[in-house]
Amino acid sequence: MTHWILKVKLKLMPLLDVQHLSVSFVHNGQRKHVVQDLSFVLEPGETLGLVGESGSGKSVSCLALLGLLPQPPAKVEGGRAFFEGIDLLQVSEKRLGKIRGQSMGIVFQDPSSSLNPYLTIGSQLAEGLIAHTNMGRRAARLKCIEALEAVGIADAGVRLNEYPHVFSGGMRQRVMIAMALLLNPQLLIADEPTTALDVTVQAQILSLLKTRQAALGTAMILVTHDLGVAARMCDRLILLRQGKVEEAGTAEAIFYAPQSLYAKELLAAVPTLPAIV
Amino acid sequence: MLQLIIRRLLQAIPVLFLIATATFFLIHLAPGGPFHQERPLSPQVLEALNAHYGLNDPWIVQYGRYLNHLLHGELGPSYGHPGHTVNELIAQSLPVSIELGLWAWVFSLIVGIPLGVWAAEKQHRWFDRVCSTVSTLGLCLPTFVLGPLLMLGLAVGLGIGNVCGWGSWEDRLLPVLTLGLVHAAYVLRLTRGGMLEVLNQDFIRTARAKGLSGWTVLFKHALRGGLLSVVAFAGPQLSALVTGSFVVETIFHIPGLGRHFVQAAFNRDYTLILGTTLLYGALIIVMNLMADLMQAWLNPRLRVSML
Repeated sequence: MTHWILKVKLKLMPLLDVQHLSVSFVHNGQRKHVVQDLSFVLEPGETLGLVGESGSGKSVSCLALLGLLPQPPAKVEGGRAFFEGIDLLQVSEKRLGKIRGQSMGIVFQDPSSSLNPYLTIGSQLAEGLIAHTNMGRRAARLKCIEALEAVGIADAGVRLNEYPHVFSGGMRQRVMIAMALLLNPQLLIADEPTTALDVTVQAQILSLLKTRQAALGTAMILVTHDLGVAARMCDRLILLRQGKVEEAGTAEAIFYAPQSLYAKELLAAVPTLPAIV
Repeated sequence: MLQLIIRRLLQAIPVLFLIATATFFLIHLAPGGPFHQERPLSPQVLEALNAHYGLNDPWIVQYGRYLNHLLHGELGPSYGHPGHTVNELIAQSLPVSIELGLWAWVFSLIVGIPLGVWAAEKQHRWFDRVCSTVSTLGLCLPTFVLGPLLMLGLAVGLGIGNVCGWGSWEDRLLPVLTLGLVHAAYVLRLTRGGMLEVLNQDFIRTARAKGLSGWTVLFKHALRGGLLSVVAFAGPQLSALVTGSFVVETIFHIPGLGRHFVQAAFNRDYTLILGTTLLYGALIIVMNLMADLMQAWLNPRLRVSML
């Protein structure tokens, strides 16, 4: 009976409910507020864009949710973040590790530094699987091959035994995406996933993210300072400036009818091609 | 891999030749000779000794003769130890120095690496502070201070270990500690520094994002990279340790190779200087090769560039 009620409750609850998140950093003995009073709700399968200039607190908010901020110098000042009913900011480190590995996937900005250069791609992919499921090495290997093929890496069986330095930047980011989605997480956090890549590769990686997200029904938080990327990928946007929410709403609303002065200025600053004809 | 080893060993031949040449002429350039003593020998005796050892010949002739001996594996007769060849002297004292040096080396790694890893993991906490302070102290203390201090504290005070000799394990305890503690301090600092550098890398954050346990992150993801500098240090260090420490051997009266280095130089014992220097050179070459192979094993990016 209670089980049934719980299920209904879970269904009604958003996947992620962030309330009044505030983060500060100590720098040169001074405390600086980097994120102030950030609140948002994320439904299953939805894509939310965190947009803003450098230093506006986009990445820090995500790292705070994941418990990956170095504390100190960082400090989560307050707020709550319910992920499937569990407050990520209060839960024990051990429990958070489990949630992070199983139910959340993360793709970081720079694929050249976010893979371990001393370990093979295969062992880095498989370790999460082996740690969080009771899968054996053979089964894990097969699953990894499947995951690499799903992100468009040919000859996956051979490539598993290779080290990151023989992969190109785009390939490494594909590996990161495969790694993040390996355990079918409910939430994918992509922290500027295409910033360090070539423009042509950017487009490939974005469409790959979109197809994999659609195939697995994963919700996504996309951190970006690229308004074009945000427009293409996101259902809803949050516009951050100096750690505060400047504007929030659907992508259409912000792009076609910006309310705040900052959003208007930002959109006006996007370079356009002058009409030649 | 095998190719690399063969190539490096072949490269060692000209290097050793250069070491022999440079040492030979440098030591002959130094004033005095093997039989110049405080109380001068009579000119007839000196003349007879020089003639016996061929020291009256031009340098170039002596040099050619030495190289010829060397090619046959002979390091020549010792001038300072009449009736003994340098080969004999090294054969007697090297095993002692190897044993002392090897124990000290193993001790420094066993103590230094775990403490360094843990200090890096606990950066800025009290454990790290204690380790850093103690290791700095260890670096500042020369062995000729640490040795007598350990003698006083352990042997005299607590009755642990002996203050001199080289027979039982109690004799070995204090010299190994003296030599080992100083090197453990080096290893600790190198490990801590290497680990801190690796722990701040993005891929450590990725590993933690995967929800791996702290131990897995530390030992599977960080240790390899963190130990690279330790390996680069510990290889050549081993060759220095096994060829003996003059100071420690003198303090504890150990019949090792270290004293020959210094005494031979004072006595102008040309052949013994050359012999010990060549041995040290050869060991450094071999240990460096081992360190390089070990680094390549740890770091896949090095494997490509080495072959």
